[in-house]
This record gives sequence, C-alpha cells and structure tokens, in this order.
Amino acid sequence: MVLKLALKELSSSVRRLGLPVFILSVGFIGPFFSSAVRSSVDEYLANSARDFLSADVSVNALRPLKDEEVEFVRDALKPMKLARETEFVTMARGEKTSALVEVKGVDSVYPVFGEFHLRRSQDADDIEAVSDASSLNGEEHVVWAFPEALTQLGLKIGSSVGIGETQFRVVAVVEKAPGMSRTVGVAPRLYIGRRHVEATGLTLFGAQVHHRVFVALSGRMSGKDISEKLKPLTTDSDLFVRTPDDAIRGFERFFRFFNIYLVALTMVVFLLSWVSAFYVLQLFLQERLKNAAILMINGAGRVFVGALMSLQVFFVLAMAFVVAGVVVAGAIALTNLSLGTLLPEGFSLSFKAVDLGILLLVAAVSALAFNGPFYMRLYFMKLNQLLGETSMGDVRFSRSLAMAGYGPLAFVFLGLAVWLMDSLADALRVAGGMTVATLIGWGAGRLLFRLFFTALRERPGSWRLVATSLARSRLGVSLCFLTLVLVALSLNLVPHLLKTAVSEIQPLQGREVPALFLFNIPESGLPDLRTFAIENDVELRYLSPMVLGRLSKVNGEKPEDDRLRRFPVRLSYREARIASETLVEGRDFRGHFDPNSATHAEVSIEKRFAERNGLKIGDELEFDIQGLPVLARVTSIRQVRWTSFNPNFFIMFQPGVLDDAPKSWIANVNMDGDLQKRAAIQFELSRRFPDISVIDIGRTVNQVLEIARDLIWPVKGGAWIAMFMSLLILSGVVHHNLQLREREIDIEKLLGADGRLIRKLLVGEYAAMSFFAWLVGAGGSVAIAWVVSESMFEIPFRLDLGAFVLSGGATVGIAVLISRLAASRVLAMRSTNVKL
Amino acid sequence: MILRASDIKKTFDQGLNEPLEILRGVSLEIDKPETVAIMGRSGCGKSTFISILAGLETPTSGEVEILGKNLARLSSAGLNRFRARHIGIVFQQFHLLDHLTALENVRLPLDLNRVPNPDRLALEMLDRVSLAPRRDHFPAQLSRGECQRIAIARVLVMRPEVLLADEPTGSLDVKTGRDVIELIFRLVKEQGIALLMATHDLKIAERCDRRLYMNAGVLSTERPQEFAWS
Repeated sequence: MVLKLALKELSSSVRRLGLPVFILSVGFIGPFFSSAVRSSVDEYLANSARDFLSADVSVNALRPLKDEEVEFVRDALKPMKLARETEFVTMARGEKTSALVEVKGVDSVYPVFGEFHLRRSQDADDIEAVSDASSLNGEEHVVWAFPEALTQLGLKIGSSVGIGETQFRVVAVVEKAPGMSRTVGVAPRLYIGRRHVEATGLTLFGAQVHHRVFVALSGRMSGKDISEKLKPLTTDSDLFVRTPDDAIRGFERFFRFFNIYLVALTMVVFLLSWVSAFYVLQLFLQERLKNAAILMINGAGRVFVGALMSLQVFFVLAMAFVVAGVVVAGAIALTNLSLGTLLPEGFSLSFKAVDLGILLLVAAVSALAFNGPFYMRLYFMKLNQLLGETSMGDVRFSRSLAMAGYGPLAFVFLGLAVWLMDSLADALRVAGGMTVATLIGWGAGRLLFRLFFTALRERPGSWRLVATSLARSRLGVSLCFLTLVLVALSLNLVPHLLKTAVSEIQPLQGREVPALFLFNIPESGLPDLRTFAIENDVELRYLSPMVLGRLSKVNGEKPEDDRLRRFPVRLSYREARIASETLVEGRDFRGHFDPNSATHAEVSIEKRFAERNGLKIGDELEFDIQGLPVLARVTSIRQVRWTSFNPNFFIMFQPGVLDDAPKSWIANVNMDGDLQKRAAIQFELSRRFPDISVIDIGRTVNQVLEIARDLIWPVKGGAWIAMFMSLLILSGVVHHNLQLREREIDIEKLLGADGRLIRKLLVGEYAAMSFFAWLVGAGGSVAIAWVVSESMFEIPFRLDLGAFVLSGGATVGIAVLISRLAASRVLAMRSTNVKL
Repeated sequence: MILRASDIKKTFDQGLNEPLEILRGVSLEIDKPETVAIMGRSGCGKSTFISILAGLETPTSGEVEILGKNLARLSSAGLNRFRARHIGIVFQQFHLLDHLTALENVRLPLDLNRVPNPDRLALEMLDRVSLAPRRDHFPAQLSRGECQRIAIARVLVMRPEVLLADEPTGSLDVKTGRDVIELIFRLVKEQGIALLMATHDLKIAERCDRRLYMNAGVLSTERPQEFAWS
C-alpha cells in the first residue's frame, strides 16, 4: 500500500521532479566515475603487480651479489627460473653525440616473466617476440636499444654505440620490454649481455651499480613467506628484497595523490549537487507535509507516513542514479575507445557491482537525510499544526530543522569521501578543507554583500534593491554564490600554479645557468678535466665531492625509515654555502673539523630531508662510510633551491671529515654559445672521459616541462569538468530560485515594475553576485597557489595576470548569461496577468 | 469620472462541459472620492470583479475605465505603470516581501517607479500607520495586523486615486480588523481617495457611502435577504 501510494503521488509531480533529478544525477556522476577509476586501477595493479616487477621476487644490492648468496636464493625459493641483472647509468656515445643512458646487463635467462618485443629492421611491422636474452650474451658486443636512445644518440639499427671502453652494435629496437617501469626519458635504456658489463670498465669500485636477481616461483607464495625464507640474507643491510607489491608501491603512491585530487573535485560537485537538490526539494517536501497530515487524520501512523516520504525521495534519487549510471557508462565506453592505445595494456575502465551497490546505498541513506526536517516535524508537531503549517519558516524549529536536514547530509558526504579515498584521514582532510573553504567563502560573500548594501542603502534606485536582495543572503543566493566562487577558483588556480612552476623550471639564458651537469667524475680525472675546461673555454663551477654513506643511527637508535639504513645517502662538504643554500636554523660550520678538540663532526641537513626524517638541531647521527663509523651532530638546517641546477646535497659535512674518504665528484659546466657548441662539448667530454656522466640540463628541463605539460592535462581536465558540472547545477538552481520568486516578481509588477526593470533587477543581482564571487574565488586561488608554491614547494609564487583578469569576465559573463536566460523564461511564463 | 465598469462579464472555462459564468454583466460608476462596499457570499464574484477593476484579470467582455483610461487599451507594461501610480490594491494576504524590512516594503514602489525622496516619503507613510518604530523589522517579526498596515502604507505611499480592497480584514481577528478598517477609512479621507471594498462584514459595509450587493454574478443596490438585518 505504501509503495502504491508513493508512486501515485510521485507520478502527479513528475514534471516538477525533473530539476532535482537532473541536479542529483550531475552529483552522482563524479562518484560513479571515481569509483570506476579506483576499482579498475586496483584490479589492474593486483593483476599486473608481477608484471611491474617482471618477477615474483627480486633480490637487490648496490654491490655484486656473491655466488653463495645467489645459491641461497635458489635453495630457499626453488624457483622455476632465476635471472641476474646489472644496472647502471652512464654516458653512451653515438657517432657525433652522446647521451645519458640507463644500461641493463642481463643474463641469458632474463626475463623470468614476460618477453621482449624487438624490431630488427626499419619495418615497423617486423616485430619479434623474444623470451630470453641469450643472443645478447654471445661473443659479439651487441645492444638492444629503446627508441628514445637511438633518437638521442642519432643511431639506427646497425650503428655502433660506445658504452664506457667498449663499442656495441645496435641489433634491435625494444618496442616493448618486460616489466612496467620505463625511464622518464632523461636516461633511455640500453640492454647488453651481462657477461659484457665488465668490459665497459664502468662498474669499478665507487660507481653506483645495482645488482639484481629475479626469481619466478614454481608455485604461489605470499610476500610474508618469501620475506621469511630470505630473512638470513636480509640481515645484511646491503641487500633488500622486493616483491610485486613493493614494485607497485610507487605507482600506488602516485595514483593516491591523483585519486585525492579526483575525489576532491568529485566531492565538491557532489556537495554542491546534494545541497542544491535538498534546497530544490523543499517545496516538494513541504506540500507532502500537508498530505501526510491528511493521511494521519484518516488513520495512518507516523511510521507509515515517514516510510511513504522516504520512498518517494528514494525513487527520486534512484532515477538520478540511473541517469548518472547511463551517462558514466557512455563516458567509460568512450574513454576506453578513444584512449585505448594510451592506456596500459590490460587496463580498461569498468564498473564493479559492489561499487554500484554502495552508490545505491548512498542514495538510500541520502533519502533519509533529505527527509530529516520532515521527520522532525512529523515527530514534534501536533496534527493541527501540521495541517496549518504552510512554510518552512517556523521560527521555533528553524535552526534545529536546518541541522536535521544538513547534519545527516554531512555524514553522507563524509562516508562517501572515506569510501572513495579508502582512507579516513584523507577524507577528513578533504572534507575538513572543503568545510573550511566553504565557510570562508560564504563568510567573505556575506561580508561583501553587506558592504555593498551599506554603500548603496542611501542611494535610491534599482541597484539598492539588488544590494538589499543580496544582503539578505537567502539560501538560493548563497548556493549560487558558492558555485560561482568555485567557477572562479577553477579558472584561476591551475594557471597560477602552472605559471609558477614553468617560471621556476625554465632556465634563464646565458652563462648564469649551467649548460651541463657532470657526475661520476673520478678524483684522478680532475686535473685533466680542469685542463679540458680551459682548452674549450667552458667554466667548471661548484666542483663538489660526493661520498656515499649510510645513516646507521640517529641519537643512538636505528632510523625509523628502513630505507635510510639500507640505501646510501650522498654526502659532501664545502668551505662555504653556495648561492642556492639558505640557512634557516642553526649556524654555519666552525671552520675545519679538529679531531683533537671535537668528537663529533658538524653536519648541515636540508630542510625537507630533516622534516621527512624527523631530524633537528642537536641530533647525533652515526654514519657508515665505506665501513667506518663517523659521528656527527646536526648544527644547522638549510633550505636548498633545487631549481638552481647547482650541485646540492641533503647532508653537508664540515670540511676536514670526509677529505680522505673514497669519493667521486660532481660539477656544473657553464658556457656561452649555442646548442651546437653544447652538443660538441658533451660529445668530446664523453669521448675523453668515458667514466663521467653528463646531463644536458637545457634538454632535460625541456623534457621535464613537456612531461609536466602532458601530466597537467588530467589536472586541468578535471578542473574544467568539475566547473562545467557546477555550471549545470548553477543553471538549475538559478532557474528554480527565480521560479520561487514568481510571487516576488508579481508583487513588483503590481507595484509598477515592467518586465525590463524586473529582468534588470534579477540579472543585476547575479552580475553583482558573480563579481563578488570572482573576487572571493580569484582571491582564494591566489592565496592557495601562494601557499602551495611558497610553503609546499618553496618556489616563488607567480601570478598569471591574464587568467586572473579574464576569469572575472568569464565568471560574470556566465552568471549574467544563465540568469538572463532563466529570467526571460520565467518572465515569459508570467507575462500575462499578475496572479496573487 | 474616477471609475467606470461597463457590462463586465467573466466566464471561466475549466475544461468541463459548461463554462463557469462568474460575472454576468456588472456595471459600476464612481465619479467622486467616495467609499463603496460590495457585499456577497463567498464565491459570488466579488474578488473576480475587484481583480478585473485592478487590471489583474481580463474580462470576457465589457470595459473598465479608470481616470478616463480604458485598461484594455493599455499594453502590459503600460498597465503595470498605470496601476502602480493610480490604483492601490489591498489584499487579504498582505503580500509583503519577506526579505525586506517594513520600511523597505513601503519604499519598494517608490524605488521601482523612481519617485524622488523615497526614504522620506516611506517613513512618513509608515508614521501615518503608526509603525515607524518597527521600520527595521521583517514581516516575520510583525503581527498580522501590523503586516496589513504595512501593506496599506505601501499602497498609499504612491497616492493613488483609487483604492481597491479585497476582504482586507479577512485574515485578521475582529479587533485587529476593526483597527485596520479605521486606518483605511482615515487615510482615504485624508488623501481624498475613492475606495471600493469587497467585504461580507455588515458593520464595515455600513460605514461606506454606498453599499452594493453581488448575487449570481450581478451587482445591484437591492439588499438580499441574508443582509436584511443591520
């Protein structure tokens, strides 16, 4: 009976429910899409984790693995396959150019999973799948190269490439390699046979070389079991074990940040949509209250009536759910179709049944939340009051009714955020941030409206009426205002951040910015390098020693972060700070270290490194430097400007401590001249000093900028989509708001206003509102971008003035257009006769 | 001639077999500032007639002239302007704007019609209805009687020549209603306004200069049986 009655009442109001269904479906689209993305990525990572590592487990070290260690792995895990790899970064030389490359020396068994897709000729279709690297380990020195490596080195199949002291012949292009990791493009990859690594002369003592064993297990084994079996190995801090879960962790971390951003946008639109729908549904619910009273007079209980209302609102939400589902299904199909080649192999977006179920649950709970004020009235008010009740403006209940309505919605919102982000902490941060931002925005709006009203209250005319209407801050006006603030924010924030980042990364012209960055300079090569610099009229700057060590103890205890203990840190020392370093806490070193008067050397820690690892002034650090313990005390914290492209270090020692430690050197090369001279110098350097690695800073920066520009598109795209959806909601709310003001319009007509004046008043209200919204949104975006730039990334903030100004025109223009269209429509409907 | 209604007929087509004829040829003339009451039962057509005289409804046939202007010949915008300046309408339900204060509600027609010195005029009128101390209060903070006085002030601030009142005390208690009627009569006399009031209250009607009776869609001076006692 309750179902039949609910449907009958709904069917009599179908036309009026179009707007709330529309608004709710816009709000649903975000969670639908976010949940599909998140579930699809989780599924893909779970299925592909092994592919990321291209093994079931890998054992890694920065020193050559001993035969007995490899045998231990074989005995412990009884693998189906076991392969070995040696990896290092170096300069490779083509005929006329050189470039930084990542070299992987692999044995004949490699890979244990997956296969190479090799192209052995210029014919793009001539692809051969190869499941082992035995042909690399023959007598001849041959190499398989990534396409980017050939491009950078100016090579083709059959060309010769110099790696260290050996020439290799390019026999194939790697179109697809096992494993998911790819170099960013700074150092493209070359594959050689592991037996030929030593011949390059690049893996001698002091060079940073990774040694790995990859294992394919014959049966399933959990990460925990694997760690247990290999425990005797891992007591040696030089060795560490990686499972597929470890391999995808980096990607998971990246995706988590992207997911936070995506969900934040989703939740903004969801919140806007839900609050707007709640506002729009009030009239519908209000009328149902009287019907409810009539039912109760005729014997229905409060529970029956409550269920009736809940069902009706649930059906509205269910309709929105279906509409959103259909739209997102279409969007997903389109995404898979259009981005198919760009998405990783095996990945496709899709809905999961459990996600649909959860979203339906959100709809059900929201139905209860929307009815909050209704339940309150039903419970607290007498029947005759319900019958006589005609508006929601009952002063006694107004505050508690607002809480009854919006309070539960807050829980729906938070619950959804927790589910989408899979983290209560992240959800609270986003929800908390949004709440604070909304309150600030709303407060700023109220202040501006009041100032506007105060400025105009003594000036007769239509603008005074506009200011009065805004100053009274009715809910519909507040909703429209907050939406427009979001529009202004979206139009501004990304351009400011982009301008700041690009301005910081893009190097200046001339000798002031380093052209090349040199590392792996052997100490013995310094005199010849200095001579080379003089001969070629280039400047060697900030020649800095680099010593590898491990931070083994902090204040007598092992560091909490295991990676600090396992992986070496790069240590250095200087006579004085350079231009890109600023002291933020503590003092500079007191001269050279004197072992007679001090037990602890002084160290200076970079600010972010200190924050990440909980280090502070006065901490005692123990380093393991090539097997020797060195004690040091933190005497200063430095801020480093990393975008200066100068040699900078997380940890700087007082001079006189590491002078005798085995070290390599790094330096900048500054020069005048064009790209040709730079390429020639780079080539000559790699030819005369095959040990030294060279990075072309200018080209690297451009590559990074290109990648950043590509990566910024999902960020921009997300902001644009959120803004577009907000505009859809805005147009619905404006239209509804103006329809609610029909009575007001009729009164104004009665009192002498014609259609033109009324349109002017209505559009003027939205023009003023949007101008203030732009001030708040654009101002807010500058504040946020400033905080992000200066506090988070510690780079100077740059304002994108063009975006700032244009966004004002866009925000006001959009609001005027929407309000004009809505006003014309409402006025056209009310053009004949005044109905009061 | 202040007001002339000639043979006004009004029929409502409600989708039923026979249309509903509310007014069957109603005529009325007011040629000086006098008070006229129209009495009749609920549903007899009083409110419909008042709406037609105010230009809020169009008659099926017949003409309305106010101050020599035929309302049917005015454009929609022209009618709005004319009505704002020359015709005041007081409704049973006040129709104040909830987000405006008492003063702002009274001032609203002055602002909309760009009348100079709106603040002074509005305050004066508010004072005349004895609500100047409540100028900054919103309708939700005022009693029903006070709201109706604000509505009257809003109407009379424009100094219309004609005041049409449709059951102005219908939603008020007896005492408050009496106070409101006193106010209306005082102000129309002070400003020399012609008043046409629809009412079913005998006592109010007897205060008017003329009494007319609406019965079966026809207006007459003959008092029907139900209004025989006095």
